[in-house]
Amino acid sequence: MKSSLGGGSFVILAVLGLGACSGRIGDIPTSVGNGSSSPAGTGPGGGSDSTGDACKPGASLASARISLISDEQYVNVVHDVFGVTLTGDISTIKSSNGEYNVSESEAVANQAIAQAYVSAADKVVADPAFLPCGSAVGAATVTCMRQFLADKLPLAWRRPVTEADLASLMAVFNVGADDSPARAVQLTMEAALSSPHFLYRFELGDNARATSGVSTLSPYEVASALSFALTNSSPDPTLWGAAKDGTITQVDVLRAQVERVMALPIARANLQKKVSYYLDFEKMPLIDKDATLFPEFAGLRGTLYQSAQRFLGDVLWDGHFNDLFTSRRIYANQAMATVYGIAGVTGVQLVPVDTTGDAYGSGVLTQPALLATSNQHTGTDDIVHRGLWVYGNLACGIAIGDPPADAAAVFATITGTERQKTIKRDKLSCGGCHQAFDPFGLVTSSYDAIGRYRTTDENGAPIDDSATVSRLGSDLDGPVANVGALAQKLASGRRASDCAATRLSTYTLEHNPDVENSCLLQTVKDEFHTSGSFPALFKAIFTSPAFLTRDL
Amino acid sequence: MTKDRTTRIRRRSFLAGLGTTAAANLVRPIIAQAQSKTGAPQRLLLIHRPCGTAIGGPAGSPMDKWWPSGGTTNWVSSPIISSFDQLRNDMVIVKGVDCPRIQGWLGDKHGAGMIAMTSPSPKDKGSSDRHVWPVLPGYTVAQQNDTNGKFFTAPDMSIDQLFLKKIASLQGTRIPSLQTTASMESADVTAPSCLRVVSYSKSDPMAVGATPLWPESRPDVVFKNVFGSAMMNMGADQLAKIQAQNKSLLDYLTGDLQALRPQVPLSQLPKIDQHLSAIRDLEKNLRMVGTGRACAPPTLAALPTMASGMSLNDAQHYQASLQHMQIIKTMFQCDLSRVASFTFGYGNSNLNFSRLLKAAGLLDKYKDTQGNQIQDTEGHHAISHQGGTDPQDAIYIADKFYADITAQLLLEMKNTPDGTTGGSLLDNTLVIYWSEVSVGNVHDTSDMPVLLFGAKFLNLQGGKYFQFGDHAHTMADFWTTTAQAWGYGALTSYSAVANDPMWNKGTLTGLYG
Repeated sequence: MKSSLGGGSFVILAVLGLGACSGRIGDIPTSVGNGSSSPAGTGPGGGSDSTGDACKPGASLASARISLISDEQYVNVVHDVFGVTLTGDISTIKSSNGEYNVSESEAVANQAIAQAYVSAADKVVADPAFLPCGSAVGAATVTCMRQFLADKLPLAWRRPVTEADLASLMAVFNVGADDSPARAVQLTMEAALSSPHFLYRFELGDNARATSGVSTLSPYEVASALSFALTNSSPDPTLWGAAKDGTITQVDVLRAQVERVMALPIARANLQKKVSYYLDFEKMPLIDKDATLFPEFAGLRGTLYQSAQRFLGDVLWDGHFNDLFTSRRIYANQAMATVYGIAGVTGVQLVPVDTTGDAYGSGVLTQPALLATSNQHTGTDDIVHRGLWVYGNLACGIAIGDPPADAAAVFATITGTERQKTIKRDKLSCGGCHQAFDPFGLVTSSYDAIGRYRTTDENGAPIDDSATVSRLGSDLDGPVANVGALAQKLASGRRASDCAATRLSTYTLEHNPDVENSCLLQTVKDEFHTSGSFPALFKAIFTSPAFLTRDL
Repeated sequence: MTKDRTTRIRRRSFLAGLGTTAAANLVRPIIAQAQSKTGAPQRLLLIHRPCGTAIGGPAGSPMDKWWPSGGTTNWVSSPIISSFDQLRNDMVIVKGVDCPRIQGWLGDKHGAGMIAMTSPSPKDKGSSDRHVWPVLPGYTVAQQNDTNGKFFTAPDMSIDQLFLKKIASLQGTRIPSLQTTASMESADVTAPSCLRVVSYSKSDPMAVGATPLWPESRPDVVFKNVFGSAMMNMGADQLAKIQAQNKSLLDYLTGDLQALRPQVPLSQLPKIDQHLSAIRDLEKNLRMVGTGRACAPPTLAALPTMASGMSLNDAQHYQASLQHMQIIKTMFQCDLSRVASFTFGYGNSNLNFSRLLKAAGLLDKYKDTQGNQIQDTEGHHAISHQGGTDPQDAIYIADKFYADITAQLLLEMKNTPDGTTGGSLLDNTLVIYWSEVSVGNVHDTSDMPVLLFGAKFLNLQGGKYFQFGDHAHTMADFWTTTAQAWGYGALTSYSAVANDPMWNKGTLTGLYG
């Protein structure tokens, strides 16, 4: 399964088993996943719009699996366990599209990757900070290397290490020792760090070979899954202690550990990054704008990203989900404020501004960074992609396939303002899909390609921000007067909060839990809708009984 | 707890750097082979020779010492291209490919040609300063505005660096790319000049110009940089020891993976099995060491140090050229790098062929088409501008000399097995042999004398002479056609102004089958 779920473009929710838009009105389901068929009957649109199957009462949030660790996780574990800070790629080329790639966890090794892991181990050993016997690798002996492995490998491998494990590795050491102590250490670490016990995260449980039911994770697997989800690394000593004594599977202990780890700066940064991917903020550093039309933009790109992160931090850690759509706060410095017409800001540091007026009062929908990012055109208004961003990221609309081959030719015949084009487009075959997402773009017509507020269009006429949303359920469908009205709908209904819960469950579990369709996921969504708290959402995921098992 | 962590999520793909020990330098690159369908790496080699080719015979048949006669497949070799007769079925000749530049552009025309052949042309700045090149850091616009100014750079990275960045099969080696030259003049960074550089990088997309990757001229320095001193003179015993060590590692990993098979759900078995397969592939390549595919660094003789009556550059040029060629060939064979650009000499090359041929003992080998030794005593650039007493024959001799050396390298690559399916080093390398002008005297940029070799993995149509028609295509077309053949379909235009019709005339149909 490849599910790139961070995109603001065409969102692929293949796991939902829903086909691409075929251009027929009515193809687009009005619910998010299958949650709307929950026993509580509280899904999007009040449950009345449901098209999904009933959830499974005993199901887990994910299936039993092994997953190659990501490069980031490799670097982090090596840092935390061996004190070595690696730079550069381990096995990959940098992803440059700013999207969270969930399929990372489904990656498989090939010869090049296997070779790369060997080379990465060599880098670890070559690092001056790597001191297996408290001294340089050239001084290593059989005794101290064995003890070093016994000390370090459990955390590196996220499981206890047996005498047989150590004996196998020391046999490799002895082959290298024919050359030199340094080579012996290098060869041994190549083995230890290329071992599947290091490279894979194991979430198998006690019954992995059964053909149905669930498998209960071991304490070590729970600690590992929790740690990688929250910190992208091996468990810290405290969490590891709870794994070793088995208490991590106790509800109270698990909750306490989740709360403790979540309070760590590294966990907060990691979780905020996931939310940042969900909202497409990670695409911000990658966008470009026409330098002639917007000469100031290149110099503001980094500022805009930081501005968005500060906004996100407020909502995520100190706010409510509704703030995502209703907050009037913008972080700006003087340079940014000048461009975006935000009064009263001086200096180079970003400062919070609680805006007044119509321009920037709709949370993420009117964050300049997001408006600039979702407007993929570099110089002109881009109703389509702005609409797709809301449709895909915030409303979890069904996957829409690529435009037909003649789309460009058809579009070329459509002239007028963006609004006029939209109206004309909707009367053609294009409307079958575009009617689903264009309205979300139309309500942002008051913002130019870099997100500056304006009151007249390119012809000097007053801007009409109104639109009519359809086919997305009762809490979103209907006329909206402007972006503020849409924000209110997103904040008050179930669809956006359920969508957020699904997305963030997917990113934290590196798996789309809608696949298992656990009723306990619906409980997580219900709790999130009630609390509106992102930290509570994460806690709900990791303390859910469905997190402690894996489906078979 | 503070940690220095990157949080970017990365897409899993190919390998990163290679090992750090001397042993790793030798063995790991060989292990690293077999990544492509043919079980061998894919490579890109740009070979530049300066100052264009011979004008040739009577009016109306320019460059007829270069261009063959005949049709696409039944073509008859020309005096210069005959150097490559043994590579006929590995070679493609393209005619009708321009490298459009406006002669009114400011700056040295050879320098502009060096850049324009392998980099995007500069943006149109308007009627008053149309297509002005970015100025090298530290130099002024006034210096650039000198009609023959040489202190400018490419607007963006050169094609070899772009391909390296975008095409995964070129990546993952210890040395990302190599830039070398056989002319000391070309490596003189104390006099920065666009004339000396083939490759350009650009790490900051907002920067006005690209960063020149100055070539290294000293073969011994290149040798050390590429191979490392510890790798030399490795005996059979040491090789066997390394093989045993690596086998120990791979056996360990195989055992671990096998032990996991019964423990994972059936749905997860393919991951284990594919990992096992990867380890088996590594092991298979390990066994190839010592069976004729093991790479060994070339033995480099000391270059001549006596330069009586001539510059050291003239005295060493021939041997330096051969040594650089050997280094590139072995570097490819060892898979230490997959991208290289080599220039025999810079666009204003002052190499003196009457002297360098004498130093090389080749005066009798290189005669004009009438059987006479070279008469001209001017430097290469000067004779390309009709300097001296017999420039047309002299430029023919120079171009023939470079064709012969290049053919020698390519023939060795053709005879060097590579990969697991019977291919050769040449089969797995796209070689582009080119000059920055076609006719040096007028800085002609039409019908560029370009030859292509190898690239079986791209289905390059070896043996064919494509005659596309006058001004039918451009080098930008060639690079986009090549990019698309290589799976880099996103490159649809290689001019600074996307789809500028001056550079973009369509793909070269049939080039890659």
